[in-house]
Amino acid sequence: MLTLGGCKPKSLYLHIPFCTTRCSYCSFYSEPETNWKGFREAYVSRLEQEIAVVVQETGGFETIFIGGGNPGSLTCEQLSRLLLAARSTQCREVTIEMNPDTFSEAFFPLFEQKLVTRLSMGIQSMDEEVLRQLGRNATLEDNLQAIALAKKAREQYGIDLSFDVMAALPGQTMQMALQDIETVVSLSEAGHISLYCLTVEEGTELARNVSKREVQVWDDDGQRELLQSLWARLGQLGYEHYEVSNFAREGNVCNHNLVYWDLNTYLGLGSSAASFLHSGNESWHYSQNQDLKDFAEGALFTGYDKEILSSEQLMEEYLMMALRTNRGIEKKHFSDRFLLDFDSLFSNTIAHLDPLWYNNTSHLFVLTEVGWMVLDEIVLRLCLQIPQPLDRH
Amino acid sequence: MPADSTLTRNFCIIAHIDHGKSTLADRFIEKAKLYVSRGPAQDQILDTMDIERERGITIKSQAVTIPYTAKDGKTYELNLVDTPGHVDFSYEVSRAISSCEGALLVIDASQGVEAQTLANLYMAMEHNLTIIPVINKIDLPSADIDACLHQIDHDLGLEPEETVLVSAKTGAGVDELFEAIVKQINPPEGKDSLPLQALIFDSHYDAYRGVIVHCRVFNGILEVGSEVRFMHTDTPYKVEEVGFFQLGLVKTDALHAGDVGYVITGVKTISDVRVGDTITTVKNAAKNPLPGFKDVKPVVFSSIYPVDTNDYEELVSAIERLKLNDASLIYEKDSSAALGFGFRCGFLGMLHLEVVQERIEREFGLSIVFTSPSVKYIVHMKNGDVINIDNPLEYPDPMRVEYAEEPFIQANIITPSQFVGSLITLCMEKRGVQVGMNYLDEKRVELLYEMPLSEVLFEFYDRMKSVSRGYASFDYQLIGYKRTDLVRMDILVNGEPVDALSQLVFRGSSQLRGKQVCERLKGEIPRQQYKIAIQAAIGGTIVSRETINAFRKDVTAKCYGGDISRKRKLLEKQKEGKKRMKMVGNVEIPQSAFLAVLKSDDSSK
Repeated sequence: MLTLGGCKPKSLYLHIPFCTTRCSYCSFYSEPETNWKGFREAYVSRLEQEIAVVVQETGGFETIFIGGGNPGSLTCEQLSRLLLAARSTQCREVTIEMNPDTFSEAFFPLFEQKLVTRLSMGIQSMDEEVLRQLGRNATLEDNLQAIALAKKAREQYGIDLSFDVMAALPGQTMQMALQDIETVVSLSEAGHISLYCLTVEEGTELARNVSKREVQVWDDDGQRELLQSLWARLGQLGYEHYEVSNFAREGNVCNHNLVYWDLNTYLGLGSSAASFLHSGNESWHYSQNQDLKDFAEGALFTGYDKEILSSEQLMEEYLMMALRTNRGIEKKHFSDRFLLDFDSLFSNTIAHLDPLWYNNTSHLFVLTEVGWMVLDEIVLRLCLQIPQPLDRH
Repeated sequence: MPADSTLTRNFCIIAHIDHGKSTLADRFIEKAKLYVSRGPAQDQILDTMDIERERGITIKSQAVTIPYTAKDGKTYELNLVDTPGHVDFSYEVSRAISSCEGALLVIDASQGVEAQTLANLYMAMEHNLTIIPVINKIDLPSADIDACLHQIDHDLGLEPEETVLVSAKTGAGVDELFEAIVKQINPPEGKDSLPLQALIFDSHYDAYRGVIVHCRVFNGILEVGSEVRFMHTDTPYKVEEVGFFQLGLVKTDALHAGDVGYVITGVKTISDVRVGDTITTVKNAAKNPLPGFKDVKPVVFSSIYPVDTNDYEELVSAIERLKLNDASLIYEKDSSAALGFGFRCGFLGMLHLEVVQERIEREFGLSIVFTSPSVKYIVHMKNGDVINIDNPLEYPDPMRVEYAEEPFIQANIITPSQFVGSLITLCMEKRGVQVGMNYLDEKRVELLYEMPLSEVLFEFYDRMKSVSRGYASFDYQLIGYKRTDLVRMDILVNGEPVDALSQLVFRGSSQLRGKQVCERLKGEIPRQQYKIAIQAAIGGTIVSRETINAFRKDVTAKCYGGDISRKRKLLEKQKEGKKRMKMVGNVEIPQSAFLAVLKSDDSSK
């Protein structure tokens, strides 16, 4: 049972696990259309009621993000109800994800009524064959139309645009990947681009195909070279590389996502959504464990599993998230938060890292792009230095 | 317990691994109502160690006394002595066998007779035991009882009519087997009036009661309060307690001639008890000890180090505690430039080594690495000195060495005839020399080979199983030392020799061995911050080289609110993995790399 326990998170995530079909690489919770017909309205209705309660309790959210799945599987009217329930005077950024194949002018009222300020669309690739390989519903034609439509929405209602592009895809060459970026940027002039290196997640169709050797993926060396080129190109195109996979032109960073990377509190509602809350001396996660049918039929706030974090776990999560951005770790902020001195904990480990991987000043520890390439290893090494159990006294 | 030794039967069970020895033993105990309902988690009652249950083998001998009321109306005392089931422990088997008058030869109805079975059968015959052939698993659809009976008659020269058919799983035939034991196996001979001679066939350590010695009294009486002497170790003790084995220990006043039971004296450590030793009384002592005593010596040597050097103290206590229950484990302190402080240990074989490794890891929760195992070589120096070497690091400057000798074994392999060709190829590859080949029947062949022990220890068994699709079986005995051409191969990681990976190898195989080791290390050592060179060197010559490139990319692409918890759990796992890495210079070598070097090569897969 989810309760805020005195925490007033400023960010809200809503998960819409409905998809027309599942893409081969996707490990997020979603269900294909045949499984959710008939539950959609009940799902939205419970979500709407939960939102109403938490808005009351928190006094409203500054950032809201509707993700999926595909929020475009809901009607404009259903989305409006959710957003109306969530709306408050504090609200400054509302992002909605949309798949290109289901995006249409039917959703424009959301922009018109200022219920949504930011549109994030998964373009993934501009190559017909690659799209098919990935199991995307959208064709190249769908992508082109969706980009045009998004631009129209920006022109008419002043919303911000972000596009997801994937790289290191099976069958893709370096040239094709660079061309995808060129095309998406020149067609859309988007303020924000997310560039994801394809990850083969366990349990996905892609993972099965790779293990059967039916699909060949890029090796580490190839991925690194590719990323280097794409990152450099996005820089030339005027985007700031502000997080491992995220790029923004001036004033276009995603504030909602920065909340995650700063490990600030947020509330996630809906099937499989996650929350991070903090109150007094306690920090905890909720993760929603119901599938969409159980969620649709379940009582309000049921199915949220609580996991209380130890100080060590909290610090691990902080390192894991904070080093992803080009803000890095502010040492003063670290010692305020954990009551431990960053340098005395980590300077020895840092001394053994390749100096090209980081900038380390008296008040800041931040990774370079070269360091981001091996971020997981760096985080792992730092985490090994966290005293267990961490003594806060 | 009957004072009348005509009501006693001492027997053991001889069987190949997996032929159902432990299940049959359980069934006896169950039938005898010593144990009522079988616990779900613990199938085999006598195999008390986890490893024994998992691998289906018995490592420690166990004994149990089963009361049985036979059809003649008399109640007999059936002493079952359970024997270890692996070639590493054949001396223990021989002592257990010599404590008995009879043996059940258990043959899997679908597998037939195998080498291990034969070796132990011959041992039992040497000790004049009455053999009762038992065909087990008759409930299996693949059971071929006629073929087994034919083998019993032809290959073993036993009476097929005396064979008992059982299914240890269903319990069928077990009553008939009890009757056969009573009727066919002789009661023990020996007289209470003669001077005491009790054979020690095993011992174990009990945290509360100290060392418990398992023995068989051949003559005389072993009484509480009497002064006794262990004849080979020549140490006197006072008998504090004697008794019989049930599912626990059951005290009694005295063990009489013919009895199998336990004795507790003031023995402090298990190393003070030698399996095969004879207990006699101080007064009216036996003139001679019972025959067959051997001082068992380890044949494989390797050093154990904690992965985390801070765990050394815990390793010390783990080894000391293991030693309490494992007299055959010998150890001394050792240190390595790469690995810090550890222990040089001697083992009875590779299985024994693996058992020790698993017990340290499981029972004591320590991560450890083993150095490349070695046999004991005899090195003849130019100046006439002769030295024994079991640690590659102690191998002297080759310029000063006249020649070296290595231990050889005679291998006895029994295989279906269609695998003879590939087995001969394997034996030749392992420097084997054929000394015999006998057709046991139209389908089965016995191969006799002389081979260096070092070749047999490391990968022979797995390869043999692989080329014979599991059908060949194997047994060996040491036959002495032979001249060999030995070199020391060092492994260098980024130019630094890793002493723990040094090994002594036959010159003719050194090139291949060096290549295998480098390839295996490349497969096990993950990419790191810097490029890593792995080289195998003999003297100053590099014989093989592999390169591990620096890691290039290791970053989670997507990490948002919903991913944090999952990613942290992944991180926890990775942290555990990192802790199992051993820093050698500035290279992290996972524990698995040390183990991979010991394992059989990939060509066997």
